[in-house]
Order: sequence, then structure tokens, then C-alpha cells
Amino acid sequence: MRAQTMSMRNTKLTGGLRTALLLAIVAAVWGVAVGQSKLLIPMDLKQTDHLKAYGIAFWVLQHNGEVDWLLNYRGGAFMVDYSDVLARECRIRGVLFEPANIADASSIYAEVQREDNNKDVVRLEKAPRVAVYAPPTFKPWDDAVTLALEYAEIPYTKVWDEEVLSGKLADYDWLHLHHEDFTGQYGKFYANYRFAPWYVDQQLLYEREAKRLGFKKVSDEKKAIARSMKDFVGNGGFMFAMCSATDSYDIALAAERVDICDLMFDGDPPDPEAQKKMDFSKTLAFENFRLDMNPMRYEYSDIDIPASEPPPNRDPNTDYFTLFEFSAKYDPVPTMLTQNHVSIVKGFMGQTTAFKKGLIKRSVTLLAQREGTEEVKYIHGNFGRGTFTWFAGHDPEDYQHAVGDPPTDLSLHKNSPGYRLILNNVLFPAAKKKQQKT
Amino acid sequence: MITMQCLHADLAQAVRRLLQIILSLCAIAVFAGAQQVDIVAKLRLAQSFEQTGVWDRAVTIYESLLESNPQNFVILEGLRRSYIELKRYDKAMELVRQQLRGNPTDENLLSILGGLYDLAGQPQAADSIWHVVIKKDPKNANLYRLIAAQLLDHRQYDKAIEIYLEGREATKNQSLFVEELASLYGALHQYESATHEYVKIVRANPQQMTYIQSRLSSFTGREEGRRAALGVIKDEVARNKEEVPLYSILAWLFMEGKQYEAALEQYRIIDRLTKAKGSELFQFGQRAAQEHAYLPSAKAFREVVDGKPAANIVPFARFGYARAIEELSVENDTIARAPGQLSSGVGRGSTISETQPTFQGAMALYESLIMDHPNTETAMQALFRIGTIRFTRFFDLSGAAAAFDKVRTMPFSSNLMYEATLSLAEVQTARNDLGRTRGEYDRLLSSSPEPYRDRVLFRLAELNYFEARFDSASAVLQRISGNATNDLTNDALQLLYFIQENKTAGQAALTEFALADLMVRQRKYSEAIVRFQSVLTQHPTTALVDDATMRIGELQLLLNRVDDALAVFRTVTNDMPASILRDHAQMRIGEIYENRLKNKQKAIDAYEHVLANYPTSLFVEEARKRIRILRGDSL
Repeated sequence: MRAQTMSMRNTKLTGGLRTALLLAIVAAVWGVAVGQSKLLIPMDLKQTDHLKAYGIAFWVLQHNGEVDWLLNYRGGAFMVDYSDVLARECRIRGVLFEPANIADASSIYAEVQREDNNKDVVRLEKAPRVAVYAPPTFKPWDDAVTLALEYAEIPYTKVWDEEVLSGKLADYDWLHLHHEDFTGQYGKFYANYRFAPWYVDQQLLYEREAKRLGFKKVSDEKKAIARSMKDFVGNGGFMFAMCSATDSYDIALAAERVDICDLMFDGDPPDPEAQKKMDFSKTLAFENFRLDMNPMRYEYSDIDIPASEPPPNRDPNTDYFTLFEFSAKYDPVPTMLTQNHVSIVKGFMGQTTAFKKGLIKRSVTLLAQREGTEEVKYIHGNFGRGTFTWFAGHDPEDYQHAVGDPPTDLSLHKNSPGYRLILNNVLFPAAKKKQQKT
Repeated sequence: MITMQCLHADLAQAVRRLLQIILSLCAIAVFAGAQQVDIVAKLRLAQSFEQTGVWDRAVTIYESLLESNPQNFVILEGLRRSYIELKRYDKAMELVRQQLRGNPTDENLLSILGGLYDLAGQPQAADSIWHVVIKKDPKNANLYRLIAAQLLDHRQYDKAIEIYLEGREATKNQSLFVEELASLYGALHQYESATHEYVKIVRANPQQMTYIQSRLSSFTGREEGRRAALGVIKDEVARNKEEVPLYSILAWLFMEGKQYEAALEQYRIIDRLTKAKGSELFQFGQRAAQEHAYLPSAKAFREVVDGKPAANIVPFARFGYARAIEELSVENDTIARAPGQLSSGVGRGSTISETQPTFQGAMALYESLIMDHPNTETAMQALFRIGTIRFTRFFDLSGAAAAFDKVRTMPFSSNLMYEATLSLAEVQTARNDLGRTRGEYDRLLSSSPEPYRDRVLFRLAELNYFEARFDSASAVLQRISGNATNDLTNDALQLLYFIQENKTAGQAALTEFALADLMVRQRKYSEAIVRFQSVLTQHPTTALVDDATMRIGELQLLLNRVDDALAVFRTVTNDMPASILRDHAQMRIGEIYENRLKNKQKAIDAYEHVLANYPTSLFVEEARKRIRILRGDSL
């Protein structure tokens, strides 16, 4: 399978398993001697609140603890040192845990480390510093990732244009791109919302900000932002984006030297030769796509599949995508990113619902796809010393989210497999880098 | 003959010539028509290329069409649009210049030419052309509009504002472009400037107040917007102390910000300036009451009454004042007086004030209203309020019954009659006169409109339960619970299941339990405790034991015996291992520590006990929430 071969080639965080095993056994033996025990947070169907469980893992890291992420063991369980404080915190947050004595823990580690099964341990050591790129008018419920972070109680900092352009991204490990349009076309909401106060306000706000920062046009400023973020990834950062922040980001990179915005967006018409002038060597994930420059259409390009215009008529009951399985011992990164208690996940739409397979660069790892179709839902890739992971669709628990819809109440979706995929990404930068397994 | 022949020959020749001419004309017409059809078809093709964004093809067709129709406006416009889309601004400019050759003073074309220079990145050239346009007739407002339209198309809002202001200055007309400028300022978040413009509109036409409020509300929802607007209007008011529309805007802005006292001050001025005889203050009082701002509402109503109001609003203002005092009394919780003490505070002439509201004061106001305006609907409402206060606040059953009974005799067809009957039945229950209670309900069932019937049925079911008629109670409750849209369905289901669960286990125990519940309804708390205790002692093996214990705990709390209540709830958690109410009892322990004893740590411990020992309980979510609030987590 292409996905697997590519991911094996791209994997950088691997190896060191024997060391980890030895450490675990030593810790276990020493633990027996002093009566220590472990606390296992199962992430299989038994877990009462999968999303808060990620928050607990993050909480342990924040308190200078370490977390062992048991890949493919009970849905990607977490093993941590037992303490009454931690147990109480789990209870208060509604996270199911199982106290494990040293013998039980040793047995679990031994099983996970066995060579003949597809499991492994990844040690999480340091809470990542999380940034969310969002405008000042941002509301946490506009975006699935911030909803997940808020629900899981994972702290994050908002950054916007000035911080990005002044190099503040270097202060963070993980960057999430809020539902943003990097092309400068204001989400291509023009046809339906050009008279809506929020749209008018947003356009004026962005124009003022662009001018303040020395750019003539918002599109020019957003392209500069996209390039700064690419530098952040190149320097070892982790980027996570959803929905239209994915394709619009790559479009902005490809359109570095060409005006693709129509009159109503930047005050002058686009370059009629824009398509020909796209530079796909600049993009992270997509190539050879065709722009959709009609301002009256709610679509950026043909990357999105099915196209948002006309709105696809799908039955949510039959819309599912499948997570690929990777080798935990050889491909720990994609394995971490796809940890879940189910392998088939409910589909959900967005301005960008899925990525057309034929337009994804071969260097990119496919993590999930709608079986039997060209629709890729979830991808991961490397650039420079960092990585990017993009997840198509707007809200995993709101099949067809529309502007003005109420926010999703995650306390009603505590076990959401779709939201779990988002939170896998938040913990992933905490993983200790290991030597590649040979 | 010859002449005749000649004449015929000439005629024939003339006819032939005429026919030739007609044929030639027809041929020319057919040719011209074919040409016209060709032009229209090409024009449509060019337009469809435009619509699909194939600008270069559109240009080719427009250019060929222009050769044969150099003055055709539609072709010229289409070609210019297409050039602009292709960013061939030089060609577009050339086209406009070509048009200008025929009409060098056309202001519209000149402003478009300026716009093209602007698009081409030559703003100074654009400004020069626009300057020429304006210089032709500086007092012509339309010229400024033409140029501003170009700038707005290019999203240059600041420059558009400059042009509008220049026009205003040149025409010496400060009310010119007010709507345009107000919208632009508002959109650019320049709220003070926007408000100044809206003030001009109101001054010119005070009838547009509602429209202006709706326009202002586009930014006064933001605190900074409201503050800016307030600042402007306050300054204007300070300079123009007699302008009512300005006070109206100011009052509206204060109301938007829930600054009711400040709003009331403006309404006082408006009332005085407009000689409204209290009607402006009355309207404020009503709106403030709707927004639960009872203190300013009371003040406004009182001022209406104390002034020289229009006669028709007096009873309503007095009722409004009394209602506000009643609500303020609820807020201040100044009841706690035994029924016997009541008379001392009631009556005309006693001191009543919104700053020291009492239920007695409210009742005195209602009573004086009834005396001064007898046999009015306002008096009926006042009487109903008296009954309600006497019953719910003072538990003065005789007084309440008299009031409700009198409401029913008043000659008005109002839903208040049914409400009074329902309340009267409740009073009869409290008096333990269950026969009369049943009589009231039966009468209501046959006479009240649909919305009241389910309420009456539920009360009847409760009555049956109190009287140990469990089968009848169950039958009525089943009837109510069949309607899923009814507000009472959940209550009905709860009582139904309780009866069904416990009836078979022991009729005698349930009868005793129901009697104790009746005593609770009658506020005979100590006697109810004794009854519940007798359930425990007389029927120790029934499933009602834990329910009875829980009821005792709640009654101890009502009687302020907090330690006793804690001990009772602990009995459930510690000594009744089979009870399904243990989680509830543990939760109540936490709530007592939290709300009554204000002991945060013990409350947290108690809630954690719920999480640790009853992880599948329905109360765990609430327990988690309480812990987090108590330890100060941001939720």
C-alpha cells in the first residue's frame, strides 16, 4: 500500500524500543521493591471519556510527569505512574482508569514490546506549547480543534498575523490553523454572505490589519503569513490544519507571485494567466490542481472532493472513512496519528470535505481514505525538520456544519473517534525522538 | 387612344419602377436584418464568454463588433469590462479616451478613466482626472458620488470619505451625504463620526428615530461602539438642552447598556419637555419591569403617580408600582413575618418605599388601588396579587381564600378567574379541606379552557394520592403522561412510577407515606417528620424506607436543623447498602456543606465520594461540575 510505504520512508521518530523496554522492566522491578504502581488509561470502547483522557495525559506532562503511549494497545492506552492526585483528577474529569500493580504493568509492557505483534510504546515527555492561528474575532466554537482543546482542557495561545510575521511562532511547538483562508478571498463566502455584517466587518478588519502591517492587499499579507508558517515547519514545528485551511494554505504558497483574487476581494481583477503561473514546487501537499476563481462559487480549487458547489447530496448514514494501519514499530508517527478505538470513522463535510488523491504529492503519507473512492480524508507529511498533518472536513460530529450553526457540545460526544484524531496530533509533538529502527 | 396607350405605357413603366424600388428596399431590409441578427448573436456569445470568465475570447468578439458599431454602448462597456479583467488597463483607457473624443466633457467617462488609472497603480493621475471632473462644477453633488463610487469599487473607503467630505465642503451643505458617510464610518468602526452623522439625520427628520436606532444598533451592540455613541450624544445634549430627539437617543443608548437609572433620568426630561404628563415615564416603567429592573421601574411608576398624570394611566401606573415593590420584596427576601403581624403594616398612609420594599407595603398599595378603582380589571389583578402574597408569603390561608374567592366573583371574563380557582383549591388543600378542594377541581374541569385542564388533572391525581386512592391517581396520571408535549408529563410519570413501585409492596406503608406528603404540602413539617418516622418504624421492610429517610432529611433542612439533616443523609449512605438513593444522599451531603455550611473542602470531599463510590450515578456529572467550581477551575 502506498500509504504504508511512504510513511515508512518518512518516519523519523522510531526506535529505542529496547531501551524503553529495559527501562520499563527496570522500573517495574524497582517498583515492586518499593511498592509503586501504575495507572492505565484504556482508550478502547471501555473508556468513558476519550477526549478528556488526552487532557489528562497533557496534564501529567504539564506537571513534569511522563506518559507512555501504548500504541495499538487497547485503542492507544496511556500508562502513567500512579498517584492519588492523578486518580482523583481522572475521576473529576470523568476519565476511566485502571490501577495496575507492578506485575500487571510489567505484563502489559512485555506484551506491547513483543516483536510478533503490531504494538509499541512511545514515551511522551514534555507538554507541547500549543498555538492557534486565529483572528481577534475568533470564537472557540468556530473551529473543531479549539473545541477539542477547550473540552480536553489543553491550554493554547492565540496568535495572529502580527505574531506570525514577527517570528513569534518560534515560541511554540505545535501550530493549528484555524478555519482560515490564506488566499485572501475571505473564505469565498462572497456569493451568500457579502451583505452579512460579520462578512463586511471581517473584510474591513483584515484590510486594516494588512495595511497596518505594511501590505497593500490582504492576499499579499496572507501569502506572507503562509510562508512564515512554512518556515516554522521547516525549522521543526508541527502544523495541524483542518477543512479549508489546508487547501487554501497550499494554494497561497503556489500563488506566491500571482494575483488570484477578484475585484471584490482586493479591489482589482485577478491575473488572467493565474492558473499557468501557479508554482507547485512551493506547496507542501498538493500539486497540479486547478483554481476555481469564480467569486460566486464557494470553492477554491479541484483539490476538494466532492466539490462544495453544488452542495453534495450524501447520506450521513453511509458516509464513513477508513484509517490505514501502520507498523507501530517501524512507523510510529502515522501510528500515533491514527490511534483510535475504531478503524472506520463517521464522515463529515466541510468547505473542504476530502482531498482528491490524484492531486496529493507522492511524498505525503495518506492516513485515512473513503474506501473505493478518490477521497482522502487525512494526510501527513514532512517538510524540513518539521511535519504537517491535514484533516479534511469541518466538524467530526456535525455532518454538515453551516455558518451560524450552534457549536457542537462535546460533552455529548465524549467518545468521538473523529475528535480523537485531532487530539492525537496535539500529543504527537510530546513524543521523545528515538533512533530509527533498522 | 394614343394618349390612352401612352398613359398605359407610362403607368406600366411606373409600376415596374415602383416594383423595382420595393424589391430593392426589401433586399436591403433583409440584408440589414441578417446583419442585425449576426450582431446580436455575436454580442450574446461575447457576453457568455464574459460570464464564464473567458475574457480573452470575449475581447476578440467585442473588438470585431466595435469595428462595425463604434458607438454601441453595450459593446463598449463589455469590451472595457473584459480589458479590466485581463488587467489590460492601457487598452481600457484607450477605449474610454476614444469615447471621450465624441464627448470630451462626459463626467461619467472621466471618472471611469480616473478609476482605470487608479487600478493601474497610478493614483496621482487618477486624482488629477477626478480633480478636473469636480472643478467643472464643484457644487454638483453627483460628481462626488461618481468618483466615490469608483473608490468604493476599489475598496478605498478612506478616500471615498474624503471625497464625500470635500463635496460637503464645496456645496456648503453639511447634510449632504449623511447616509453614505454614516454607513462608511460605521463600517470602518469610526463610531463617533458615524454617530455625528446619524444625529444630523435625526435633527433633520425626528420621525426617523426608529430607523436611526436600528442603524446605530449595528455597532452599539459592541461596548466600544455604545460608549463612543454615548459620548457624542452626551456632548450634543449638553449643547442643545431642549432637543427631545437627542434625549430619546440618549435614553435608548442607556437602556441598551442596561443603565436603567441613567435612562430614567432622560425619560424624566423627555416627559417634561414633551408635556407628556407621565406617559413617557410610564412606558419606561413598563420596559424596565419587563427587563426585571424593578427598582428604576418602581421609581418611574411612583413618579407618574406622584405627578399630575393623565387620568387614563393612573390605575396602571399604581399597579405597576405595586408589582415592582412586590418583586423587590422577593429580591430582598423581607418576608418572615407571621400572619398575625400583618395588619400593622397594611393600610393607607403607611410608609411604603422602593428602597425598603416589603410585602406588606405591596399589599397596602394593592388594597388602596382596589378602593380607588373598584370593579376594574386592574382591581381584579390587584386582588389576585393580594391572595398570592397572603398564601405564598404569609401562609395566611383565610386571607388568601377570601381574596381568591372575591376575584372569582368579579364581573370580568378573564383567565385570572381560573387561576384564582386553582389557587383557592391549593388553599383548601393546605386547610386540609380536601372535599372542597376536589369540588373546585371538578368545577374547573368542566368549565376551564384546554390549557388549564392538564394542570387540574395533575392536581386531582395528587389529591387522589394524598387520600390513598392510588388506582384513581394512577389512572389520571397515565392520562397526563400520554401527552409527551405537556410540561407536566415528567412530574406525572415520576409520581406514577412511585405509586406503582410501592403500592404492591405495602398499601399501608404507602398510605402513611402519602399522608406525610400531604402534611409537607400543608407546611406541617414537624408532624410530617413524625409520619415519615412511623413509616420507618411500622414498615421497616418496605422499599419506602429509604424514601422516607430522604424526606426526613429534607424536612430537617427546611427546619434549619442542618446537623440532623446531615446525620439522616449519612444513614442512607452508610446503613442502607441496598438503597438506590445512596448516591442522591451523598450528593445532598455535599450540597449541604457547599451551600449551608460553606465548607468548601468538605463539600469537595463529599462530591468526590460520589465519583469514587457511585461512578455510574446520574449525579456524577453534577458532582464533577461542583468540584470544579469549588476549586476555582475555569469551565
